[in-house]
Amino acid sequence: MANSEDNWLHFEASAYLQTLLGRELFRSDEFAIVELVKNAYDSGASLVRIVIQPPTSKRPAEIRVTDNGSGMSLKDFQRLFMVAGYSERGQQVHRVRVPTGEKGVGRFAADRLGSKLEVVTRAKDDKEALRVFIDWTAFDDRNKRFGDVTAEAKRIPSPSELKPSGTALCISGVRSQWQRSNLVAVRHALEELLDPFHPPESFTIEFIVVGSPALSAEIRPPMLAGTDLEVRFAVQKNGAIRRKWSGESIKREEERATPANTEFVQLAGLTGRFMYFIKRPKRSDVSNLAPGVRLYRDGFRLEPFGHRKADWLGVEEKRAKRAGHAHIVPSRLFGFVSIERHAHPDLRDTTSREALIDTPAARALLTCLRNELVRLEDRIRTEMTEPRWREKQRVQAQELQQARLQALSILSFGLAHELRQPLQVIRSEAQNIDTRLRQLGVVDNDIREAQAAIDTHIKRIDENITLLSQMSTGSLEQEDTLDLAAVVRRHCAWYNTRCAAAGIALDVNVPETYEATVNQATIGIALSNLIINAIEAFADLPDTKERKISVSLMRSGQQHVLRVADSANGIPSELRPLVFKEFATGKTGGLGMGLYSCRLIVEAQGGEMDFSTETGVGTQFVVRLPV
Amino acid sequence: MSRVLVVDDERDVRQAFARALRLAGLLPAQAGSADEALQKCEEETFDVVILDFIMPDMNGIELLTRIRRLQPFVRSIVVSGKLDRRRSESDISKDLREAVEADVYLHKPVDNDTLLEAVRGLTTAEADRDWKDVASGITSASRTNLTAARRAAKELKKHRSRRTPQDG
Repeated sequence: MANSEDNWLHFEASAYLQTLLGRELFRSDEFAIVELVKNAYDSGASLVRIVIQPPTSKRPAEIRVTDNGSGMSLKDFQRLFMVAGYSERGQQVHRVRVPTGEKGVGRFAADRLGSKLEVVTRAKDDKEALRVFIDWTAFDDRNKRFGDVTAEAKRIPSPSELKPSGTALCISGVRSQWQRSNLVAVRHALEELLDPFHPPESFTIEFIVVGSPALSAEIRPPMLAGTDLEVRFAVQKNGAIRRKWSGESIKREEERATPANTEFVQLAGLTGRFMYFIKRPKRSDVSNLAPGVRLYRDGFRLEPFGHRKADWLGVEEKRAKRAGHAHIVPSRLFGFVSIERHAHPDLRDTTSREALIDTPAARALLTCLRNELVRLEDRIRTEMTEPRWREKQRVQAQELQQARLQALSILSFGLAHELRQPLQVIRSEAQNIDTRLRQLGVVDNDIREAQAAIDTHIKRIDENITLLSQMSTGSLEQEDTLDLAAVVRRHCAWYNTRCAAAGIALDVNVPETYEATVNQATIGIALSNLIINAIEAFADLPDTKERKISVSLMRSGQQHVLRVADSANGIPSELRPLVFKEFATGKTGGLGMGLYSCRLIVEAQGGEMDFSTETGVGTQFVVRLPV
Repeated sequence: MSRVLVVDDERDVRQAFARALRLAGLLPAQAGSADEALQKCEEETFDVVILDFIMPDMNGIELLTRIRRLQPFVRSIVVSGKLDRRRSESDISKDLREAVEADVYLHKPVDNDTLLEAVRGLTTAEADRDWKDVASGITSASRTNLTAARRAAKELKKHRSRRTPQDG
């Protein structure tokens, strides 16, 4: 080492670096095109037009990206385009537009798309345009140095499309086939590029596929309609989060807030929105958008967050862990989270845009969003899943009852016949005895009365068999027009003996006739339950208390009203909330149903069942059925 | 005297009916199964057959149809503990008559007076008038069946000769 200069070694870059940057950095054509769109935005364009010409038998494919941004002078071009890794964007903090690119590699997206690039650009004050031709294959030589690769530059008359300024990229030597799936993928990527709720201002993207009007369109961000539950949240300066709930399943908008939280102070200014559908939404309702939570910065999507496969918030994972019991179904959740480069400088994506760089801010972001998801899940549970669950329970209880009745009906079908055979024998032979005695000349009052009594009670047994048969073969749904007063009287008669034995006066106050179209089984079941409950209410009471059960039936407006009241001691206050709860009081009564199931089947008929009670006075149950 | 056949698979039920009929001056025969009933119908002629709707080996309507082939003019009373109680006996009778020309339908447990009244109603002179309709109906049905027609005519003649004013 002769002199001091020899101690310093210089770094150099091989030309192959270009290939690495260009082709390896961009995972797909969509990403490359998105990067060019961002470049156009950064140059201040209000319009960027992407024209893809798929290959034909006569011409090879070509891609053109044209914008009306600020364009580049020769000096600009040399400084900005010809130096890899250079970007002014990170320094330009006072521009109106927040630049989207920052790594200074966006221009190499062109290499990904095609082997040749022609740039025609015109800066605002220039009379002529600058045309530069780049052949990316020149970089393939690993032996060449980066700095040895050249590009031919020429001044040309300014094309009309670049007035007053702008840049047109023309990519040839196109590498991909550009079949329909590829084109559709690019179109979707562009549609998902812009934040639907905070899109970049004054920026239009046009996508044109030559020869395919169906695929060409002005790109519009997806709009979602008809969400059942929506929450908009915003992180305040002190880290508190304000929330607004809305959606079709909520009666009116609600605002909520959490207290200040130092962890989220670095997220201040972040806004987000979760939108949830109870049932899988139609594709037209969500503009064909795939579900998931997407992150946007300054109006542009950060990749790959919300990418179809990525479950960066762990929603799928959570659901899998709870074996499908999590209330959020991932395929019905759409999220849009917006951050800003200036406000959130610590939320940075990696060079390859695969993920957020792991910083405290990134971790805070994940925590914040997961918290919001938990709140959403709670809300879904209370607003939607639980009522539906209750509805399902109601239907199940009704089906269970129906099944029990069917089982009973199968039994009673055979049983009715079995019971009537011996009844027939008893009846006939009792009458035969009477007949024979008369034939023998024995005319006796006692014999006659005894025989009459046997006959009366045989008829009574027969009626009860009929009633049981009817009730158990009846469905819980079919409605018949019948004399409801007669039905009520018959049911009450069933309990006459039991009431008499317990010293209870059973007062049945129903009209002579009362025509109604109702489900008979429901009436019978409800009435039986209520009467038995009333009888049992007197069980432990002293004999001195007056014992009365009143059953009444009347019409009130558009309802049939059936009341069963007792003069027992009333329902103790601690038991009142449990009256209609399943299994709560342990009383089953009637055909083995509790008041819980009773109320369910009454409600299934569109009716209501309720009670009023007063300690020391008694209890009254009311069943209302619609006319 | 009217001949009545009581068919029921339960002995005590048969006997209860038979006793009631006997105490009323009729001459009941008994059969405990469909086979037994058909056998009895081959051996002698009955005016009325009382049968349960459902029996282990054959249902009452099917039995009635087969009895009718043997004895076209026998009248029938179907009793049962099983059928649709909500329908009145007269409604069901009407249906049954249209289906297989059973005459009367009664719900068990039927009381003796009702049963006896039904039997008398089917064997009096008024009942006889209906027979002409029944007979013409049956003979037109067996138009193509000469044997059945001859037999039907023979039965009618035999029956008419047996009927005396004191009967019923």
